[in-house]
Amino acid sequence: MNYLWYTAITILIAFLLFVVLFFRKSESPRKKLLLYYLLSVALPLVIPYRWVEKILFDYLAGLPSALFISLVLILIEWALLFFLIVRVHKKAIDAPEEQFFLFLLLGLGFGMGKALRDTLLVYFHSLSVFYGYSQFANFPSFFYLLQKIMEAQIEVISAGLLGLAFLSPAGYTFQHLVSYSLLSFIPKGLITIAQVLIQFVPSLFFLASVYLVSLLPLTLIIGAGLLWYLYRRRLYQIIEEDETSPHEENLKEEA
Amino acid sequence: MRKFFSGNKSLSAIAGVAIFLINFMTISSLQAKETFSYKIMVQEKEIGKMIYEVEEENNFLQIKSFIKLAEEEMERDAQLTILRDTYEPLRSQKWVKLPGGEIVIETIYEERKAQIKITSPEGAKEATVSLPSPVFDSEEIPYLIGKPPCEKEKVISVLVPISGMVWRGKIQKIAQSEEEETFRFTLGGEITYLRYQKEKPRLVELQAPQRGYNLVLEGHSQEENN
Repeated sequence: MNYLWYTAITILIAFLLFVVLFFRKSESPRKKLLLYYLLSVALPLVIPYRWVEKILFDYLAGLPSALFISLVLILIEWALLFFLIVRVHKKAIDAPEEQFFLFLLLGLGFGMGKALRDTLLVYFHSLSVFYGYSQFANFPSFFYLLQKIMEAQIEVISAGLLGLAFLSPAGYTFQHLVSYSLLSFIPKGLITIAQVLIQFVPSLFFLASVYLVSLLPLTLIIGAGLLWYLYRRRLYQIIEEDETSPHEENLKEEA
Repeated sequence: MRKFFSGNKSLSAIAGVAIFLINFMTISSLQAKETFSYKIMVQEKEIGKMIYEVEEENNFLQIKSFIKLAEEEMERDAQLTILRDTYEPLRSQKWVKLPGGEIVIETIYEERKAQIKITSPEGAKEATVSLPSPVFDSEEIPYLIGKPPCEKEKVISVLVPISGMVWRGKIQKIAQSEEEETFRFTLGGEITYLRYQKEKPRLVELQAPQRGYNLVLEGHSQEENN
């Protein structure tokens, strides 16, 4: 039971920290934020897309199939994140910064939901010690929680990158959506490919020992850097668009 | 009744029963034990040995496997009791050594369900899993594949006790010669290639490319006891 409490407390602390860091001066009601957060936590728990993996593995085997199945799972996760972001984007908050932080909050909730699901599967499976088919679902330890927190942060980056497509006063365009979606695949894709390769290519088994200490943090740092750079770039674009649009209107009026 | 127990007829009947009983007792106590020794090969280097002992008693087969890595001592790996005719499992035990200690997974098969008990240094956990019929234990796979008739392709249900889940196993015959036949077996996304001697089905080689090792038959011995 302890591990459920640890995970529940971690999920709550993550939310509180996030709100304190990014929504301190915001006027958005905290209740609404908590609701969005809980919705994003609940989604990976409710939708049994992990079973899709089990069913597909019953019919497909080998490295190419494992890569294909992982791609399917990433696509489902992308669709869930997209759904969340569209839902929240419709109930628009005006300030683009706040919108962006809200997308990050959704990513955090989504990642925490996945962590909670894995914890439930690993520790509350009737056999508990092993859940089985994923070597990344192993023993209860500090490392397990650390791994889950880091993987949740990868979701934050993905949600942020996907959310950038929606950050435009003129609304999002199809090109934006495609390019930022592809970008949002990169951190998740890299981690997933690493997991599959470690599991299916014996000569890469050694990477399992560096997964937590180098692969995950490296992806996190590069992903966070990329997100920060693109976010700043997008903000400048928004400011430029805001500055040019009244001028253009004036020109039209004069004409 | 007294009439029946007197005379030649009764004598021959008693003798018949006695012969039947002696025969039956002799057959029932007949035991045959086969031992297979396999080299464990990783990147064409031998890293240890895997020993399979198959003991036949009445209608049951008892399969014990042992593992010996490099200079370490021989360790027990798994023990299975299966039905001789249908290969359906009755009981299986598996020992897994991990840095945190040893885990023992014990499975008792019943009608359409199995009771799995996992004992680890943290304590014991038990679960009952519903099963389709027929179902096989993942530990009996190397022994099983070449046995039931398989023309081209066959699908079986396999319980992997360590995961507590039933997986779909697919057997495909991919090559055959006069003496041997090769099968491709897929389970839980993993592919294993198994080469069997044809005349008396016997595993000659097992290739597990995704686990990075091969088992190659090194020696075989057979003993029969009355």
